[in-house]
Amino acid sequence: MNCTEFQEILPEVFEAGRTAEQAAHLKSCPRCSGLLADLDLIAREARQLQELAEPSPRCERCCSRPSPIP
Amino acid sequence: MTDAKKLQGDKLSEADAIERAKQGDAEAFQLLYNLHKRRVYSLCLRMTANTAEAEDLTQEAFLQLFRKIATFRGESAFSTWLHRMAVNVVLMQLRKKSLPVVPLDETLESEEEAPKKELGAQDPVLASSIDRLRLQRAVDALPPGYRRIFVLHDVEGYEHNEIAAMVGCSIGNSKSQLHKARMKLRESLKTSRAEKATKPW
Repeated sequence: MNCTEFQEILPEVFEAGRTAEQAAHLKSCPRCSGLLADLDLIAREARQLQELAEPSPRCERCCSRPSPIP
Repeated sequence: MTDAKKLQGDKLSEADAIERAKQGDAEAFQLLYNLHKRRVYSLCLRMTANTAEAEDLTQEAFLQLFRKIATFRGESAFSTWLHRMAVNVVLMQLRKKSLPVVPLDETLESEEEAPKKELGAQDPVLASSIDRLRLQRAVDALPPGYRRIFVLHDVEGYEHNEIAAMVGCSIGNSKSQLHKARMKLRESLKTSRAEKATKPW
């Protein structure tokens, strides 16, 4: 397996795990192992974006007491 | 003592508030709003990267809740049910704007949008480039289709089969778009780090 082939199946590696062939390529290829580590880091760090934001008071006035449907 | 204070003083449970809100109890609805407003607004903000639009969509989501709360059966957690409602409100709005939720043909994306193929040298220090603010900016700068899938999967935790059903794409497309979003973010974060290194002020 070469780098092009590995990077084409990267989306599946995240979902389904890696095969023996893919694992062997990662072991021998610092580029692809570095890429995988970077993408994994981004996916994990994304969770910190769950931090909650506060809507403005304008939004509060409209949202909390909806008018009944006529 | 007003009913509102009585409700708060008695520490009305969310379950009680839901049942009362189903009967049209405005104070109970207010309580539900206070409990969930930040999560709904944050979701809308992450998916649109626009505060005004996010506020409008938050209003729409709670209006939907007001209309549909009587249909909540408790088969899932209320927060999950409301969250899914908010996601659908955002996606529906984006469809109305004729914004492609996910590019139908991946080969049609512009060169500017497509992430570069990675066959270059390894950058071992991406970890030092990622802080919440920089990552948020990079996410906000993503093409809208990539951002939507990235937010739904990596931030909000939806699975690809769920995303595919909500967005109206295939599971394979969802995986592909997510991968491209992450590649694009990696590019952005490395670029911003390089720019920072050349302009320390």
